[in-house]
Amino acid sequence: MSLWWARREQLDKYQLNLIENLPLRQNHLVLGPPGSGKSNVLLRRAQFVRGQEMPNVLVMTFTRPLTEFVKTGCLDAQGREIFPPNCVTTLESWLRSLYARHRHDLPGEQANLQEWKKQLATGALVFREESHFPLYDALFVDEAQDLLPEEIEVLKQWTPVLFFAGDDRQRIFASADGLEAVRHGVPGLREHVLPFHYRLAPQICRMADRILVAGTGRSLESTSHYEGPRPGRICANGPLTQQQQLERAAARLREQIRVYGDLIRQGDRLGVVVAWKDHREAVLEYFEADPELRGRSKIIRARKVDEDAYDPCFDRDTPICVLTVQGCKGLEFRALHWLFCEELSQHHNDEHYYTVVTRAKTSLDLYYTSGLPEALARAWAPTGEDLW
Amino acid sequence: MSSEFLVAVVDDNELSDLLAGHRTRYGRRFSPGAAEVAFVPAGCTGVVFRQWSEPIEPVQPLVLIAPEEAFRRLCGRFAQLRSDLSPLTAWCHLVTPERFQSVNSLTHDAELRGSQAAWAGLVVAEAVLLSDRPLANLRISACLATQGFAIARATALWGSVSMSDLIDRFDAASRMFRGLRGSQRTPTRAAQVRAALQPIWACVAAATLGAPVAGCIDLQPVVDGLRALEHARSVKYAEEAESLANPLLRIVPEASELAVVSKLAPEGRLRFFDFLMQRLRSSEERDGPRRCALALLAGYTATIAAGGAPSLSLVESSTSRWPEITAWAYVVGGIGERVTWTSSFDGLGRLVSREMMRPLRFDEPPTCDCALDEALLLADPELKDPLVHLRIKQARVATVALMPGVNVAFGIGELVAQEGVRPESTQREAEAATAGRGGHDILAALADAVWPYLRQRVEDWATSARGREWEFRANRDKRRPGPQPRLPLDPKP
Repeated sequence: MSLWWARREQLDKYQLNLIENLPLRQNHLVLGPPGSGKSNVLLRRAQFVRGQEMPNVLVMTFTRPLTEFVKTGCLDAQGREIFPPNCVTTLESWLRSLYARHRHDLPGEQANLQEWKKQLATGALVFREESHFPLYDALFVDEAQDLLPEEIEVLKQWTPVLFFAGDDRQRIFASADGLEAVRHGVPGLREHVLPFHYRLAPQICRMADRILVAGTGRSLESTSHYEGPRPGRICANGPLTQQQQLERAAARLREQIRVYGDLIRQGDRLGVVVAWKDHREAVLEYFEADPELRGRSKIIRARKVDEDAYDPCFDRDTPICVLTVQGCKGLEFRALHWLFCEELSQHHNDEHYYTVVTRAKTSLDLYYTSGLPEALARAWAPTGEDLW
Repeated sequence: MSSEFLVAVVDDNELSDLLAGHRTRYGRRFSPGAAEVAFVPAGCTGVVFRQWSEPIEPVQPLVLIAPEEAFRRLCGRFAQLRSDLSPLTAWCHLVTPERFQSVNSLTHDAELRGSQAAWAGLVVAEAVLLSDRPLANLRISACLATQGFAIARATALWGSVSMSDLIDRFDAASRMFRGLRGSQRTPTRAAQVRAALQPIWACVAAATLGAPVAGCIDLQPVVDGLRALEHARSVKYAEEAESLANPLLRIVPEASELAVVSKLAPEGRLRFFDFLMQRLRSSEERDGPRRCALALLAGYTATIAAGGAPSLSLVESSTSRWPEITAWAYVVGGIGERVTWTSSFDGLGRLVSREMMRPLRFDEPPTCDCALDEALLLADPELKDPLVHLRIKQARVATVALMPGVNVAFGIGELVAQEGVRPESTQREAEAATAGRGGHDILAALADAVWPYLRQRVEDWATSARGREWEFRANRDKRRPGPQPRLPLDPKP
């Protein structure tokens, strides 16, 4: 069984309508809360469009982890390829490929990632006029809330048909204008809303609802059709030293690897989120020293230029994914552990908290050294504890 | 051309005529529970046969009805005098008057009163435990060759049956066809699995039939628990764990925790599972109702451990020591489940269920190679091929009716290969071959030694897509036209 909905009967009528019934030559934007199936609809729509004599399509995401996650949906439950995995890429990889194909040098590296992305897109705007390459039949972009206006301009140059999926509440990059940039940048855009979601346990929904109001205007809890393991659980662990946090997380993961064993075989994963990139290595090292967790964890990140040894693919034998807040965008985990969660809190906004919390499907553990960040503390409290 | 089904009680000479297709003047139209076959006198045989409206067509005997003690004489007589008709049970059903009395029609329905999903789970569990393979690699043939399948099928067709008798018959067939010789005991793993599953078969059978547990009244709380769980699920009662636990409290006080556990998050349920495992390990009883009930609780907990979703991987680590936990987990998952045609157990569940519930058609010839009673009579261990008189025409498998309609497939010579023990004839052949090579062919001896370990892999590969492709290519190459060979009668150049 795959976590992706590959069979028609697994989709609701709203999702089916977006996949099969929308006009082929229009631009569309699909909105929906976390777990509503936006990425699934995007991929199945791309698959549908390819079958309508429009084979030259590309599915783009923002991060390498999300690209690898979407690629896992390119196979059906029997492992047969239903959409070419090589037609799924990151937006940055695609922009880089434009430079390479048109024999232009990449812009110089900058300390500010957003500035560099802006330069990369701006530089790519000149290629279309001089290009001998055909237009794409359609381009599909997930997590469109993080698009820069310059990136939207490049996308528009290369296809007459754009299909976006996004949710402003899950915006990670502060410099992006969110979906407003898409609405302004793409004329004639038709918007569609997926009203229901299927991924989040009610406990997680309630916490997320206290951080942000979902884009549908209704609470996540009221639109939930969750059918997974019950009850969900949220636990704040602290104050603890970093070593103690690691110990507790490892103990929980040892249990979760066992109790979710069947779901893990079906493609579920356990997530460990940290703020700093350096912390990923430290966490992985700690887990590797644990006899029961050894060989079961993997850092999920982008592959560096000329780095052959690292394979960013998701692997069922290593169900524990260690990644950063940015890296977890668009992904989902049966159980999520946010270690040292007050780190970088000065840079985190409500969208960040909302995004991380809604990556957990059933179980969420927050670990802190001194205190929970305000947004998280306001969103959840243990119940039934003795006041005195 | 129309036909009708007739019944007659005939003596030996008339039986010979009937079996040869000749008409008889004693036939009367068959009706269920026919008085003619309620009591078959000594020396006589009841026969149900099909008679066509066209007189030139032979009558077709379909069922022979005789007391059990007469089977041996009947089959032996035809093996000696009319060997062209032997074995009789390859083309004709053989039943006792008592059994045939319970048949309401020539199409005898199987009935498991809604517990076929639980039985299917039990059968699949046994196959998993015996083969030591993951579910995805398990074949339906392995499931249909289990003792559990025989018991489930016998219960479905004939209601309350003697489990020990059925197991004895299974063992007899196993020895005969799989190649285990009389002095050899059942292989250790199979014996361990059987010992673990016997109480479960008894409990599930009792729960199915609504009868007391045969042979062990102490297991009654387990049966009551299963029935309560079935009822809770049928009425969609939210606290099903409590329903299961209450009857078990008499023998396992720890069951009281189950009602609380079902409200816990998966991590908490895991801790209860570990607690039960610890209790099982510390339990002094090797057998008995407490161990059985603890295993049921552990199996049930595994099915709800992941917050209502099963976590069967939990029981995998304890499979070798506690096979009953795996079996209970597979059983519990099917209790109360009426829809059996889903892809449960990787699609095996519906196939097992289909074969368990297949009606027994007395208006058609049997689908087995022979019945066990006749096979026991005709097999001769002194012969080079002990099964020669059975005329088995399948390459590797014999389908044997342990009871009417209870067909179990046995791999011919399977255990010989598995155990590395060869029947004397094969051994003699191998010795002769070795002698022919002067006894110096070390590679051949090595090949013989490792073959039992390779056999399953080779067979799996041969049935895999790659194997079939290889075979296709090999055949294609054979068919490829080459230079015209010289004909045998051509003059030599």
